[in-house]
Amino acid sequence: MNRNQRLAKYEQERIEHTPWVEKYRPKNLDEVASQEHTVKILKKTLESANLPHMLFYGPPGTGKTSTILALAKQLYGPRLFKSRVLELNASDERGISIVRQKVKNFARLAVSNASKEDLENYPCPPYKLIILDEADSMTNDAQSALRRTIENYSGVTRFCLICNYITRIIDPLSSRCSKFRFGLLNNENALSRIKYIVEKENLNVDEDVPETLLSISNGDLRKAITFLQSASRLSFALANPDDSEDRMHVDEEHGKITKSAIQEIAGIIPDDILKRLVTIIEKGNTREIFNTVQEFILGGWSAQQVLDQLHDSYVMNHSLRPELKNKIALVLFSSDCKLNSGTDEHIQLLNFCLQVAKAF
Amino acid sequence: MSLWVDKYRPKKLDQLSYHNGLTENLKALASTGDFPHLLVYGPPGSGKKTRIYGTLYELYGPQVEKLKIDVNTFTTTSNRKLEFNVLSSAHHLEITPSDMGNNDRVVIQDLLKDVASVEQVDFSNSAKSKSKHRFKVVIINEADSLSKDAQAALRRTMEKYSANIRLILVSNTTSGIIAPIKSRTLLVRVPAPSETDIADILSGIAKKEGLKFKPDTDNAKQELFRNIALHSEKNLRRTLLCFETLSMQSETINIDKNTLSLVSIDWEVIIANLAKSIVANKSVANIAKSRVVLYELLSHCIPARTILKRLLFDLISLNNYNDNITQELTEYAALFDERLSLGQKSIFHLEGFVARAMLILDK
Amino acid sequence: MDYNTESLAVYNTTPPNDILNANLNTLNFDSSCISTDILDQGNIYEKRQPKEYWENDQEGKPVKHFDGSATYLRRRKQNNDTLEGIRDEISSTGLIDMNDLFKKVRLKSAIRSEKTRKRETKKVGEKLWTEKYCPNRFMDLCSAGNDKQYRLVLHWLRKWDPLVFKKRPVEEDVDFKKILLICGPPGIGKTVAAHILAKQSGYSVQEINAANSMDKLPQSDTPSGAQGFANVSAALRLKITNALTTNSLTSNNKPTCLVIDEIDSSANAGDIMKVLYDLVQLDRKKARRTTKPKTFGSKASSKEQKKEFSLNRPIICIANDIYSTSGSRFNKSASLEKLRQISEIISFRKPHLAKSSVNSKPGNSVRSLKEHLMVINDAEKLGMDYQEIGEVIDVCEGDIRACINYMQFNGRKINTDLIDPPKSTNKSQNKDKHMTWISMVETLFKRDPRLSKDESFNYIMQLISNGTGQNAVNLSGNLDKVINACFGRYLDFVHFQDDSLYKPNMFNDWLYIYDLFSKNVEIGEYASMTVLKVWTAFSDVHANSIMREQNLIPNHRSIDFETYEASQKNKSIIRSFLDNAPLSTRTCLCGGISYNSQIPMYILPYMGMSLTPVGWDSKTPGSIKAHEKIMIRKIAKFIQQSGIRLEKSFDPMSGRYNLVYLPDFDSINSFDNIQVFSTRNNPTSVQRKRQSLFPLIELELEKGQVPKADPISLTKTSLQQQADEVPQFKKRKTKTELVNFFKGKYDGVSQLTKSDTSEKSATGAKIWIKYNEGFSNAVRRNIGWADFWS
Repeated sequence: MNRNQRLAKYEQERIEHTPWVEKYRPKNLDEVASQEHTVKILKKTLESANLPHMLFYGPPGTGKTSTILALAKQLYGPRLFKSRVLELNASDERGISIVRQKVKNFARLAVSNASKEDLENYPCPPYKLIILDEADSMTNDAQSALRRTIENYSGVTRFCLICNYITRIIDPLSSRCSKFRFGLLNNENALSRIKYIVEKENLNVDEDVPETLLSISNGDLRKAITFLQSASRLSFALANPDDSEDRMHVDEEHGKITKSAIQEIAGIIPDDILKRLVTIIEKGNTREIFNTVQEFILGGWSAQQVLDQLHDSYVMNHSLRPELKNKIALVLFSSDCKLNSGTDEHIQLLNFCLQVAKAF
Repeated sequence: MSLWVDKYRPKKLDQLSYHNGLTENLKALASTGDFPHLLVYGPPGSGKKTRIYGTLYELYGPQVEKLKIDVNTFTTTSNRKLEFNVLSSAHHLEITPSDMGNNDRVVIQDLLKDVASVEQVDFSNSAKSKSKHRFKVVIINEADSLSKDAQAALRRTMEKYSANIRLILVSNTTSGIIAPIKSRTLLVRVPAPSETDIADILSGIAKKEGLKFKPDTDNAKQELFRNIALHSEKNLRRTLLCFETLSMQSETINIDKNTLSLVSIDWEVIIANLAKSIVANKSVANIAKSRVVLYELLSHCIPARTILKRLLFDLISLNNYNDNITQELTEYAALFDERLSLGQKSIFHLEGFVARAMLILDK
Repeated sequence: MDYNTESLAVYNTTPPNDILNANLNTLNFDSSCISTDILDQGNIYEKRQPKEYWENDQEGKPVKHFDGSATYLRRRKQNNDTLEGIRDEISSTGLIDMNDLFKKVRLKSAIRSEKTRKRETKKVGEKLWTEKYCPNRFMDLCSAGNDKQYRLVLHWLRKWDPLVFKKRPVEEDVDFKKILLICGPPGIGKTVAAHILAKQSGYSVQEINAANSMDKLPQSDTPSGAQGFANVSAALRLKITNALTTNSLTSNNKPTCLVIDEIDSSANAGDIMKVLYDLVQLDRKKARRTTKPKTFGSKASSKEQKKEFSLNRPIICIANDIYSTSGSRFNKSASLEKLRQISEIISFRKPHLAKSSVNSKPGNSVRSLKEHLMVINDAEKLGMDYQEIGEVIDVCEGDIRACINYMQFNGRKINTDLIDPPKSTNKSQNKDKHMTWISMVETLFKRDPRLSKDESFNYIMQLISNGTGQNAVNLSGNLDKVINACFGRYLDFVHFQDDSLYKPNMFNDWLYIYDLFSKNVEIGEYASMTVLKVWTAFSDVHANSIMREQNLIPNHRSIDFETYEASQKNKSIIRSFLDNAPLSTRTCLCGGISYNSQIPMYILPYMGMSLTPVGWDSKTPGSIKAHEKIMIRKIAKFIQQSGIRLEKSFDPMSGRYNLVYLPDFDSINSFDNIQVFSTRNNPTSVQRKRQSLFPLIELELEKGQVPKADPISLTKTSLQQQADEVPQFKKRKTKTELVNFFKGKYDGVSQLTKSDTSEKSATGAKIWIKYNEGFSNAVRRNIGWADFWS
């Protein structure tokens, strides 16, 4: 193997190892699934090459980061991207000192000159872009420090804040930005995206897998894609345990991804086991409930997951009386709350089951 | 003597005896060049770490068995020195966040960045395909005790350095782990082994060690093994320790009803007695006595939550799973459990539960 | 001689000749009612009745030292007639009349105090009382429940005599730990005791403490990097070795004794400890080399001899918390962990805590503290009585320094507080003063029958919100203490009032509120409302009588703290156990490598059971069965691998020797204070088993040592440590002797302990004087050793 070959192989391996979430990140705005409204506005800005400060907010996995990255790429092109865009996220140190130094320094810099080639192909607006991902985990102090920075350097720099909860962004900041809300992906768009990936990756999946993925991930496309990738790895590995070298030439017969595989990967409790718990709770025999709960705990199921799924099964169950649902919802709420403060799963799950049994 | 837990610990995935499907999956994963981030969860003593080490062995070969402990020093922003243990081999390293206290976020970021920035480049023996993996594995124990802050920091790191690092998070439950992490990892659930699994393991060991039983019948032995398994709450680690202790007590193991009482653990007995006294004597004086007992338990490093849980279960079984009592007791146990995690003075809340239990039982 | 009993034996140390003379010259023989026991190599014989002293000769009395040299004790000229009379009496009966002695001593002390008072009055300005009344003689030391500890310190210091004063050829004692570590809570006189006791033993004291250990370091020159570090420790080392080897002019030719104060909190504690550790290791190495037959070539050894360093001055380290985790937990060189292993540990206790312990009579320690404070009280004419002083002690929680400070600055304030019940405080509310938390607690539980409920509620409310009690229930103040005290007490009140379960439940909810609120500074002020609830729920007209009655929880004041301490200690034991265990065991046992709650819960209990099997009976070596041999081999191997050591530890409380494994996980496994119904783990039966088991394990370990086939490097050092620490067994080097020795052991437990003590005393005490059997403070106070010496 000469050096080039090795490098090529290495590169190929590296691509293989990148998560699909990165691999299938939209390259341009058109590819962004759903979020038509936002995309429409952003495209306009692309034409005019004038960008406001932006604040993207919405639940995880709805394409906020993807959108801004796609936009940035379209604005600057790959070469200029490096010098014009600064991306900071929660994994970077983002205390007040960083805002004061790094962000400020970058914001203050004069805009680098674009090469002629880039100017021809991309709009290359005369400002830089600072992307602050997961901005809601910035401290209030850091956010306040950002206020003046944003105003002072608005001539040469645009900011894009991304967060899940807009309430955690201090008002002065959010008022300086134009806000874009990213709603949950609607099923059609997400489904088509998943199917696109399935097709691209040449996966052998069951019919109902895309739907299952969507229902598990609750509109979080990243989650869905990650699960899909995990499942494919697992099933692929199972099918070809020996020759991992030529994985590009797999035939159609390799492991099929099934609904249950996806469920296991996502840590979802299989329906039949859950159903057993539900019927036992309904019967209301204390000793039986006690034993079943113990079984659940020893089985390694997390109480949080059990609660989530029980919630779905109770709330969606239309045969229950409204008052009963009401009561159960109350119990669910209090148990969930207690679990969140880091309590013991066994006690809490037992309590929940007994309370619901009492409500019946 | 190395302890049986040590001696009979499987080193390779092939040697694992139960949860075969799971073992298959891990093996398959390890055998491909690719390997996602993992979140391994399950009750204590179910064999999480054994499986992980087996997987690592599968990945890198016997090199991962050469372990060493380093003490890393980290200087926090407030200029305090922080030291924590890192267990490492050539291909992986292992950390426990509880060592780091409040600074876990910074420490983990730093550590991972460090590890990630050094790619594992050894072209020298690329012919031997064993070391074809370019990534290092970082095992994080007790991942559920990571602060939310640290977990948030992990999420981008996981994506950013995915070429160089694979994370394996180990935890007892997924409850303490934030959704973004869960969605980025492959969840591996390791349930506790069944009684039969444990019994098989124990009888294998008994054979190898040449233990003598009385009566020496298969049925009696199986019965004993099952009882040990139940006694130790299907915690395999505990089971093995318990069994070994039992074997140390006398030459032949007499199988009868009292066998297990030989190896009962004092604090469990004490809690059981406490439960009995609560049922028998519901008075203020007894609350005071209970308090002394509770203090004693706490001073012996028994976690307050464990005391509460055992006490609850003992009380329930003493009351023969009476519907109302069980339900009410559990309700309050859940309440005091929450208070334990929100407050700091655990003795207040434990005594509170004792007092409440007396009140409930007094009705 | 048995110094384990409760008798008060003051050790006479054997200082060097000149000092001895100096001391003896000042020693007034007439007043000594001493029966002198001289111990020589374990043989105890009563020397002579004092009578002979006087009859023997008029010129002087030869006293032979152990190295053969002789000194002459000269009698001082008598000029006091009353003493003459006493002497006559002595000579006639060999005994003395205590009353006369008292009279005389009192007279003397009166004269002395007169002198000092004169001196005092000349001084301008007032000193801090803590300094003014800082004891500077042994007799001024307030025992406060620590007599035994003082004696242990003296005992340890005396072990140095042969080495320091060169009175006889240095016999290397492997058991002898050359560093003394005194630990205990602040303000109970650790530093003072160390100074006085060292002086008493004829040393001049050099002190290094957190404050002055830093200033002379050349840190500013090379502030950072490895070089800087090296310099710091090198400088420290120089400093310590200098202190150890030089005899400064000021010290009157006395050898120095190094006292390192506040070792746990000093900024470069790690360096100090490293230096100490190195010194000890060097010393050990040397000791080992000299004891070993010389097989090396003479060149090598002569070369080494130049570098050799031997530790020949005592070092006393003082720390508050030897299990401190505030420093670095993992780096062993920096934590006290390492120091603990190489040093003799003596822990001082607060009088409060000593009270709760099982064996000593309650109150003795507190009483002696009270008397001590009473002296100050009298001298300063504060006019406090015993009860008030008791209150002071309560407020300061037995911290002597705090007590004295309190007395100086609060003086009579506490007086009015305590004497006046709340009703009168009601009238004099506007008086500017602060309530102590302890009187706050008392106020809370009291109800004045003369006031209506509303009135008194308003009074309490005002007291808490803006009255004098505010500082007591402030979060930044003593709210925590108030709540704890209430928590300790409230059950008594419920018990007295209606004995219903309802109130504890209700109050627990309030405690939760306190617990929750006190965490949060913003809503913290509401936390004090719990205090108000205490009053509405529990206050009683009969508060005083309830308080005085026997409490439901006997040691409610200290139990919380004790629990905390115990758990800290246990945690550190677990850590050191983990640190020693081989890696593979560590990973197997707890998943990770760090502390894990599974260890105290399951692993250590099982380990304890395995290492001291239930089925084990005391047996003679002949009757060991085959499988038991295997068992022992197994245990021995495990012990070897995990760096567990066997040790005979002396328990000053019970005066017995216990056989323990180190790290001592017994303290985690056994619940002494609670009756567990199984007799399996009760300490005495465990001890009995171990007495037959340990020798066998030792034997097995010896065997294992010879081939040195064990791959684990750890064993070598740990074995060496064992060698250092189990001298009783080690002394008999050859195997046959060992076996004989152990055979002897089987003959009976009683014999074992006897031989141990005699051995112990052989290495230890030379002379001690026992003048007062029993444990009465009254007698001890008034007849003073120091009086004899001065």
